[in-house]
Amino acid sequence: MRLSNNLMYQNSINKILQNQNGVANAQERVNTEQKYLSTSEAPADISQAMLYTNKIQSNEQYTKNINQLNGRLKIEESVLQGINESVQAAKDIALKAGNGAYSKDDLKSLASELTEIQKTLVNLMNTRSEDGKFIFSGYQDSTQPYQFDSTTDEYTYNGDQGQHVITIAEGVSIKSSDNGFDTFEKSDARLDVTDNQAAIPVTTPANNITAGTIYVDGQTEFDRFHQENYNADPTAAATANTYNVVITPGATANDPDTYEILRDGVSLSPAQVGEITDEPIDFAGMKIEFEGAAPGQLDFTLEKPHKENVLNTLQSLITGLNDGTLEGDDFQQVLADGVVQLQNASEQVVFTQASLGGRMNALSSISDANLAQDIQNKANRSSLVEVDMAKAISDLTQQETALQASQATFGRLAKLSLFDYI
Amino acid sequence: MSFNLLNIANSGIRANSELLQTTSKNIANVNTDGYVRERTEHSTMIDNQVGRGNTYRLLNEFAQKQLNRDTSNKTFFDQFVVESNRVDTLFSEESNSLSTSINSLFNNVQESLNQPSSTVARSLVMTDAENLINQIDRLSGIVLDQKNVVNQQLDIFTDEANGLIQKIGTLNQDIAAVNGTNNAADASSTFNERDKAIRDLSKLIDIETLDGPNGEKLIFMGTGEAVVMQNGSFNLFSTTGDPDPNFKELKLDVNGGKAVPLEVDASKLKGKIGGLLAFRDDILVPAQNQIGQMGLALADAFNQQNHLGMDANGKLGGDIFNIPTAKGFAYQANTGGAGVSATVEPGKGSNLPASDFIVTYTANPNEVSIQPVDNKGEPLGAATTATFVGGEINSANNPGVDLFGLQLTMAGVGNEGDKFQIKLNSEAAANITLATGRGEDLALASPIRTADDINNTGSGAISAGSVSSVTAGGFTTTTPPALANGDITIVKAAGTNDYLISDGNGANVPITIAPPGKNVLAGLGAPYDGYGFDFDIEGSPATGDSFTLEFNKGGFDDNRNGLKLAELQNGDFVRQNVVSSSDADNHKTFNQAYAGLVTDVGVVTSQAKTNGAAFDALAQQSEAWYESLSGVNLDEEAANLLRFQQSYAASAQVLTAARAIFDTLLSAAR
Repeated sequence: MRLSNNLMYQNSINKILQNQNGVANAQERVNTEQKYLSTSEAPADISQAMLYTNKIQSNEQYTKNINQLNGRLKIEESVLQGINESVQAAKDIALKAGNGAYSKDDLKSLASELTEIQKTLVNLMNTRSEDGKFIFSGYQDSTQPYQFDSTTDEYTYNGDQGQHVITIAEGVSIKSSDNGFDTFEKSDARLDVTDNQAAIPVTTPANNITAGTIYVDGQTEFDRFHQENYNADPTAAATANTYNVVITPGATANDPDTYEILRDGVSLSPAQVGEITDEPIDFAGMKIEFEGAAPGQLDFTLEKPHKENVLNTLQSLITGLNDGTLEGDDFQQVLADGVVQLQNASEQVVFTQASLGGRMNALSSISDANLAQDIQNKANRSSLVEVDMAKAISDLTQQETALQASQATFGRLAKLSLFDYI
Repeated sequence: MSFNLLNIANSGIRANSELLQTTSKNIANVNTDGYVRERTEHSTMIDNQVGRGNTYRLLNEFAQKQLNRDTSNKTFFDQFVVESNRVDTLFSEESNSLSTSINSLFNNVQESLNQPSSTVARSLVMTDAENLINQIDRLSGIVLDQKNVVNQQLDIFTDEANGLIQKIGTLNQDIAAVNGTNNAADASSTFNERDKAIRDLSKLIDIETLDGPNGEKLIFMGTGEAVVMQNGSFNLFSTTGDPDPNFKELKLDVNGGKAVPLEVDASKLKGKIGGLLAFRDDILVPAQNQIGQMGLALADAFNQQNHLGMDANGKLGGDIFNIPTAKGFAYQANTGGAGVSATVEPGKGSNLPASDFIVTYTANPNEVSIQPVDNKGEPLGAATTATFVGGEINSANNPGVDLFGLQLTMAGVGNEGDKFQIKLNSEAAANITLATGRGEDLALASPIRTADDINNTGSGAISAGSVSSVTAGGFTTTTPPALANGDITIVKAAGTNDYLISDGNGANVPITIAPPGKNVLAGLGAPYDGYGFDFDIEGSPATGDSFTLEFNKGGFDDNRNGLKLAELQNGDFVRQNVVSSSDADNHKTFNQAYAGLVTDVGVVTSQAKTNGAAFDALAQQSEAWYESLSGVNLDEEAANLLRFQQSYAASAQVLTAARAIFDTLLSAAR
């Protein structure tokens, strides 16, 4: 084909420009360590890499969250540990107080020991986080959860049941705090009857019983009885949980008096009947005693199950130990309240600790998973858009060679002219 | 005989000097743009003299036409690639990435969730929200700048094309005047100039040429409209924007502007003008719409979720972002005096597609049709008919109608057929602002909280509760707000699924809650299902167990609503297509949408690059074909120069021989 001079020059220059471009691009790749200089070079790879970048950026935040959560849980764990130890110490003291050898003064010194423990517990339960927020008050983190209310003589919980949650991976949120309600308030009070002094109803014929007492002395048996029989229905009659001990004279003067225990005037099934002896009537872990003669009746009522926090339990115990007038069964009741409820409080704290441990386990496994994902994501992104240095440098060399070659050929071509020879 | 010899020598010298002249002309014009190689040919006359020389241009008409066509294609892609490469590179830049800003915002939301009562973490969220808006603004600014450049360039190219069209018309007339006369050969420069003008025009738009009478060339656009006609008459281009004055369209004025200008189909145009328009329509418009759409969807989703929470002042959450309103562009042909403005209907941001809309008045004076249109103005899917009440078009007035997330305000009276173009997406991107800069306004807490009674004995529990609406009537508008119907208490009664509910709507109302006890209030019917919040009763409560729900007064460590805000990052809020079946996955997350936008720009650019390379090769080939006949080769001319010098010398020798013969004859006769 016939070639024109213009075309020859144009072609050579085009080639040189093209190769210069190639060198510049290859150099840019080496400098920026990017495989692609713009999206159009590999739209699919780059959009994929962008999604990986998003994952990596989210993961960074999750890692921060994990650290934050880890710190919080550790603080909480050590606080709960301290609380549990204090409660156990208090329980030991309560058990010790049951030893009949202690004098009133001894009991008072035990009481002052308990007061110190109570102070420690108040401090621990009002623990603040590093930024001065209370950790056991639910959502109300600027409200002190436990305060002594002098009007009711009780420690009341002022927080709520809120649970603060931190997200540590996509779709995985973990509780970062436990509120005082779940940890301290939910500890069961000892099940009991409403009043140790029996009610003496007015009956026809006249009630000859003048007084009576009901004490729980078999707590395990009573607990079972209470759980099986307590009627919690709010629509039930007010006397639904009242039991009547009806004392009937013996058929003859020689026969012993008999008793039957009714529930709200109805016989139990099977009927609870027996003879009156010198011993107190023993019914479902309760010790029932009365004064007066048959016929007669005394009533007692099962107490509604309720909760008592450890501070109030200690408060009652301290009051009881300091009282000095309590004797016998009444004193035992105070100690029983203390021992049972401190045990319950301790169990509740341990329960929270267990869930804390579970969360820390989950945290560490998620943390590992996040790390693994992060490495994988970075590797994937790198393979998509980051340059292979060896290849980039060899590309650069190749482009340079091509440029040199096209420049050299241009020089040769330009020198050729027939005019030089005529 | 010798007399004849003299004549022959004379004609030979004349002919050879003509040949030398043509060769010198070729050599001299080797670098002249548009020069066509010439050749002079002679024939023998009857008395053996060399005849009159005929100089003509060596031109292959087919190659020339092919070259013009390929030039149009090449310049189209050149222009497109140059422009789109800029946008592509800018969007590929890590520092320009909208994704990074979005991730940063949501990361800071999470950070604030770790310590909801910390004002520092909250204000960081607001700072990042500001950054995100700025980033959207910057990106859309990049696109807007390009748009302005396109408008200016379009004007320049149009002027250039008009200049060339006039020039071709004038040169055509000049050629017609000399065509067929003896001066035709001397007019070759006029031909060259005209052909060059045609080629220059083909760089701007794609054209077809047709040979007219008297050597004229008639020019038509690739789509058939006549541009240069016989006797030097021609049509010129003009650019006007209807309805948007900043969005110029190319028109062809016919009959000296006395008739209605012809619409030029921009999608079929080639050349630089076509490339420019294609770049605008295929890259700029979709990019700006998508950026705006993402911004609007994100702002709306964030606002809506924030409304459902309680801020650090104990109030119900408000707007975090201000969503802009765009005025509709009225078409020039409108006869009524109506106007329209559009914004995103609160809570409907995820229905907004990345398109523009045409709103047209129907025969019913209280009705308009809303038609989404693509980047080329073609309708997407079917139009929606919407009625307006009190000038407002929203989903409350049009239940069950897909309004594309728009809320329109119609002003004045419109006539049937009056049209408006709504460019909410592209106008929005730069106009989203922060409604508040105070971190306290971030509603991280939930306005309700629930509690189990301390003395519950069963395993039942009340869930934390969820809020779906704060305007449904469940909350008072007082400061601080409260529950409109007071605290709710639910007590388990003796029957298996029997409970008693107490609140402002009655005390101890017997209800049944069947396991699994999900969404208790919704299951109860009126009036309870209209509170705008709900909860579950899980597990099996024992008789007498009670549960309460109250306003979350003082609950500042609560981050439940904040968790929902953080979840927006992975939520599907950006509508993909206008048309889709109901069960299709038609939404993307913000990050996916941005990656999609960058990819779209990349893919279009990459296609253009590939096509550009192909047409580059084609253009080179047709250039080689054209040049193979019409281009000057200096070596060839050098050889010719030598040859014609020799033949000139030989002719001169003939003259010498004739004189010698004549002298010999004279001396013989002496």
